[in-house]
Amino acid sequence: MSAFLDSDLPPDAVSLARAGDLAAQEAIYRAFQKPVRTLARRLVPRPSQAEDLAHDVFVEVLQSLGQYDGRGSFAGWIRTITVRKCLMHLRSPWHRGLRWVDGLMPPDADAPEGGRADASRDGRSLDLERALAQLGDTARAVVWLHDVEGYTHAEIGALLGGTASLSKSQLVRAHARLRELLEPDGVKTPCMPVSTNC
Amino acid sequence: MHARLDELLSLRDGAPVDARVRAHVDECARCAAELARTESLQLSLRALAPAPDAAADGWAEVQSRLAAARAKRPLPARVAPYAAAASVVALALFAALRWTGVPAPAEPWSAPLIVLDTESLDELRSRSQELEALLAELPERPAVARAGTSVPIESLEAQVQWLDHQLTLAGATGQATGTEQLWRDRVEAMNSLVQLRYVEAQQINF
Repeated sequence: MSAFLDSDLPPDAVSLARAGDLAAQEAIYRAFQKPVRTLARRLVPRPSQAEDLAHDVFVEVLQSLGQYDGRGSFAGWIRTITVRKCLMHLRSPWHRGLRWVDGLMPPDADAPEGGRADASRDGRSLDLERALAQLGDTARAVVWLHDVEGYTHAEIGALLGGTASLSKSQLVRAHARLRELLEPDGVKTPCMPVSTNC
Repeated sequence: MHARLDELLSLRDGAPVDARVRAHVDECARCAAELARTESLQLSLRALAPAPDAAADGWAEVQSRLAAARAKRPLPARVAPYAAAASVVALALFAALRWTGVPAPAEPWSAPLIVLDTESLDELRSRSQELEALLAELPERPAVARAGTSVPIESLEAQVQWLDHQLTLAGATGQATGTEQLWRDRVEAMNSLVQLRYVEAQQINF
């Protein structure tokens, strides 16, 4: 499930941080830096861009503390800011241009997540990360937000500026593509291609 | 007819699905296996490791960006008028304190202008002393001044010092030749200096 749910923040940290307490602001950063960075890295394929966005998320969080009304969970509020910022980045022409260039260049130190070997991850995880990185931006965002973060299709559709149907179709597309990438020699069930009846 | 992927995903998520599809998946081993694959993939995604620890301390970077953002952020519209008013009051107070005990010149440009050609050596000395007294009454020069007035003032002050040095030399050697011209030059330089200092003082006092 979402790593945001496991974050441990002192109960009065938000009110203290809102009043300008630097230690409380740092406590917020320390409590949420891992889930924010993880989510950014899953949505944005380039690690350096994801880290940069994560910093921007905390700048916005700390600047906007006065707007948090306390009705929803604080973790959920930070997660929403993270998602919005990452999706905004993915929609930017600059990012789209870079994705096109990625296809022409050999893997480098800042290759998309999963593009490099990492001894700390087992083969299955590495394959899955590589497969995720190969998905389109929208499909990757939808599968992560829905299957891991627990967003509903209606919420994802709204975040993408569309409807729940958009989210559903992208989720199907993402699953179909992940299967292709993870099991290239697997048994192809005739009915598995999307919208094809047996 | 086997279940489609979108139907399997709906079943996995507990979303509404046609009862016939549900019944089919319950009975079809292939579709049940496909449903299990969608569940397995979801579990694998959730089990992926979190982001590795950052190479550098991100908190320092966040603080740096916050400071930069604060520096760039304009004053809120509701605060701006008060800030402007406070600035005016502060400047007025500053200027008033600088002028404490010093009578403000009613007509700055009425600073003494002299016709040098008609004055004798004694009159020039007297005039020079009057100008010295006027200069002494002016407030101290500001720590930060406009280059347009500051540079000529400093130049004139250097000129007066040089003339004083020449006058001292002339007095020591008893030379009368050229003394009157030196005094005339000194009065002229002092006259310009006083007027520039008036202008500078006016800039402080609006």
